[in-house]
Amino acid sequence: MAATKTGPARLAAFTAAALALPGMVPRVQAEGLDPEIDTAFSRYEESDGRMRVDVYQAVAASPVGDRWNIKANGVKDVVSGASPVAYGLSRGQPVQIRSRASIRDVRDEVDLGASYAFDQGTLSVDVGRSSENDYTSDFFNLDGRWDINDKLTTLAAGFGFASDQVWAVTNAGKGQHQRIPGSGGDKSTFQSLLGITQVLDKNSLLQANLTYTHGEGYLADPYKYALVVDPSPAVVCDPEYAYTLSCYTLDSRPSNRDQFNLLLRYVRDFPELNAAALHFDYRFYADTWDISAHTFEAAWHQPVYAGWVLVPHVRYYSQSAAEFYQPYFQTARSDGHYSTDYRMADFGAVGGGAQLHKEFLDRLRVAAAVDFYKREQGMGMQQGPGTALDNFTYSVFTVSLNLKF
Amino acid sequence: MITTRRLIASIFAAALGATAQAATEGPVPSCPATALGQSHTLDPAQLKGKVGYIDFWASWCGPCAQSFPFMNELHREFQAQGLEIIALNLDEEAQDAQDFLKKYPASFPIASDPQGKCPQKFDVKAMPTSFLVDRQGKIRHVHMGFRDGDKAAIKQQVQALLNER
Repeated sequence: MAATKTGPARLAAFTAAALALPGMVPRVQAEGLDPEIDTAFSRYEESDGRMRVDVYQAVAASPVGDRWNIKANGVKDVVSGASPVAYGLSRGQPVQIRSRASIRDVRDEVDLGASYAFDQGTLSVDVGRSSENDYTSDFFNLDGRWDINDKLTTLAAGFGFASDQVWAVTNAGKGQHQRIPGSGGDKSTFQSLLGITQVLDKNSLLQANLTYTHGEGYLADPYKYALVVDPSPAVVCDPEYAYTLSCYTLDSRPSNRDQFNLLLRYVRDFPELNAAALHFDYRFYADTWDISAHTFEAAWHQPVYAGWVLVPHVRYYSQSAAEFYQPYFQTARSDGHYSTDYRMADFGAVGGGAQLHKEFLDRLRVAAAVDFYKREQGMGMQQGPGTALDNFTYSVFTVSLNLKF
Repeated sequence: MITTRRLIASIFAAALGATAQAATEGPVPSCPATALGQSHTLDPAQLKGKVGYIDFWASWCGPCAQSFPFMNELHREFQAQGLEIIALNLDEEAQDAQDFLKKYPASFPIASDPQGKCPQKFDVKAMPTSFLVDRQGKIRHVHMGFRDGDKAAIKQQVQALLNER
């Protein structure tokens, strides 16, 4: 998963997470020798009236001289639907309290990038801003790639920084929003990456990427609440009798988080099978909130007929819960950290899908992709805390066009 | 984005940490809310000489589920004498309320207030809360929470208000 964003900024997180899944959305990577335009539309939809996100993306890129390439990227997400904000208790069983997104929550992102190709590699820089009515993020990324060993080995290094502001807002009408004091704050994220890609033989390669991310500041979700059944002898919350304000506390998390991601990728071509290719990914994730996760994914790239390529893929994901996660809390915690956010829970997920693309006249590439995902409490490897109320499925449909001039 | 803070704050229109105290006593506030799944409105202030039982509930609230069979009982026993029940639902998602009502059917009118305007007017501090309104439109009793042991006292109060002319 990408760094978990918060609140309705969750749509950033959803789409970022969705877009980060390989094979799901043709991720726009324009670094060609011709000016080109890339556009994509995705519809992300969860079951049971939960979130729906429409994502519009366009990228224009162009070489400048022999060594420079510049690009401009724009993304618009439109979100609607309901999301869980807290739990109540009914006869000892948790029940969901949901909040509805307003008719149109919109996220806009613009970023500008430039890359310079030198004899042994590439250096790229990217700056951008993402904004919603309750979330802004300014980010900067610097990435380098160096080819060594007769280009059989490629080393990669990267650094990124993001400065975000997260606030719960009230809708004051006419598109005006007011921040709610006390629910939100600023956060900073630093990310660094080291990677190596090694060609094993003429038909296979192995890639390893290690990412370290440090986040600090307000890392909670200003829209989520935790039910604490018995906060203290002085304040009584008895959900079998009555809910009072003292039953709920705002989502609260540590103000520091260190995240480690390891990606191992194996790619093998099969010239004898009409130039098919197998991609196998394993990802390991661990953070200082006690969450660890494993992702296994396999994709098969199969040229079928007259330039059509079919790419089916399957995926399994397992995550353990954050140390301060429960669907609801029977007692107060001494550190004051509480989260009932389903993204902090223990769960497993299976997914799969396919992409079909074709190139026309070496100028135009069209692609369509579909992806399904099923999140299931108890499907994880560790069987930690969580609730089946958070089981859901989602589907993503994507169409994209790439045109070279 | 409708904020949860407003949702929660409107349900418990009170300062954080406030202990349960009786809400306002006085004229019943006007708060027209749409009858669930229908187009006409229900307003607690428009009960015209009847005794009102105004209940605030939500699908996620356990004791609310316990109170529904009791409200059906009240409705059956006292409707003929002039008791009007309005149960105001505070779920933002209508579907959540519908699912609840499949499990706990109601013989009395349900109104929907997804914006949480009514609990603010009534100064609701707990879920569920019910307000007993006399024939003159004055709030006379406020019940916070619900447990089976409350039934007898509530019935007595209802009967006493119905007997007032």
